[in-house]
Amino acid sequence: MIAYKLTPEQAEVLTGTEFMPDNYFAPIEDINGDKFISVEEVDQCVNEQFQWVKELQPAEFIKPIPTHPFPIT
Amino acid sequence: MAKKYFFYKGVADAPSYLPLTTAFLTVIGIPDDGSTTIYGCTGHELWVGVNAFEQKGIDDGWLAKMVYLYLFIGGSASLNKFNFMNPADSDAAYRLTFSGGWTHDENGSKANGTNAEASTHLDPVTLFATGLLSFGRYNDQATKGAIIGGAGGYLYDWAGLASGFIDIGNSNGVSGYTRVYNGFVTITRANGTQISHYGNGTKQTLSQTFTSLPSGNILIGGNFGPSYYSDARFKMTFFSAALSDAEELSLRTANAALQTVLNRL
Repeated sequence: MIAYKLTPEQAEVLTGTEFMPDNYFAPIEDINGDKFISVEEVDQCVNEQFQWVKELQPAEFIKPIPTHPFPIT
Repeated sequence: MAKKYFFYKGVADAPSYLPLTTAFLTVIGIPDDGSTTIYGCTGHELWVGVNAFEQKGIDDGWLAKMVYLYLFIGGSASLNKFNFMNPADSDAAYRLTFSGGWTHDENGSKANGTNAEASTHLDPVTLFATGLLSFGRYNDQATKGAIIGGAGGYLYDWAGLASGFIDIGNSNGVSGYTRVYNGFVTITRANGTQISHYGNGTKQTLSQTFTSLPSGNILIGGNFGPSYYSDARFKMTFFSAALSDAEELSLRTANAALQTVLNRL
């Protein structure tokens, strides 16, 4: 899966800010602990303050291994 | 008998609509006229459709049980976020807060399955400490994930690749039912020892003892962290006191009629 890798500082700046009205950035960790934002957040970003996200380079995003298996009765 | 509202009753050219319909569509900003909406129907047809939905809920008793009811009408995050039951722009009114990769349009709000979730700001234990409640969804495009979840991991509708799990008020989810990714799904706890899954009208009842409902907001599209996000496209979701079989059928029928008006059945 393709997403956009952030530095820790970039992730901190974006967290909780809007990329479009009423929809917030949500940086997420990959399997290595690096922070990423999604294609949708980059493509739909209309917040003039954060247009620099459109300069980010796409990279492979691998989800973390689940920390707990889903509960089964 | 519930009060009926009739269109164009009384003053000519002055339609009368039910209060929730009026408040909601006024906030959304769709005029009650002949202009074509993003749904392909006219504004007037949309008002009539939403009003009929509300009337059905009054007549058949399910509307009074609702806490939140998201119709995803408007086509943007700023409009799809509103709760039909109380379209105030506040957490206390259970207005959705979208985060991560969502796509909002006339078809609803689609989660990307990677990091998208929406907080309802509803902590169910504050209203349903005994767990007697219903929640549900009408969606398409789902292939995986926690479609709805929360309450500290004690309440969810999770559609896994191998099997699904549902839970209301226990540390362990239950499977053994036919999971339904898409369509109209309701999950109900009507007593302390069983929960029921209604998948597009097929009811399956499973044994699950209620133990507790920890504090925690209900999320749409996500739960349990990065490995469990859903890719569903939501067209309606609800949370209510426990619905009877008849109320579930009525809600499902009313939703189908509304979605037909919106050209997204």
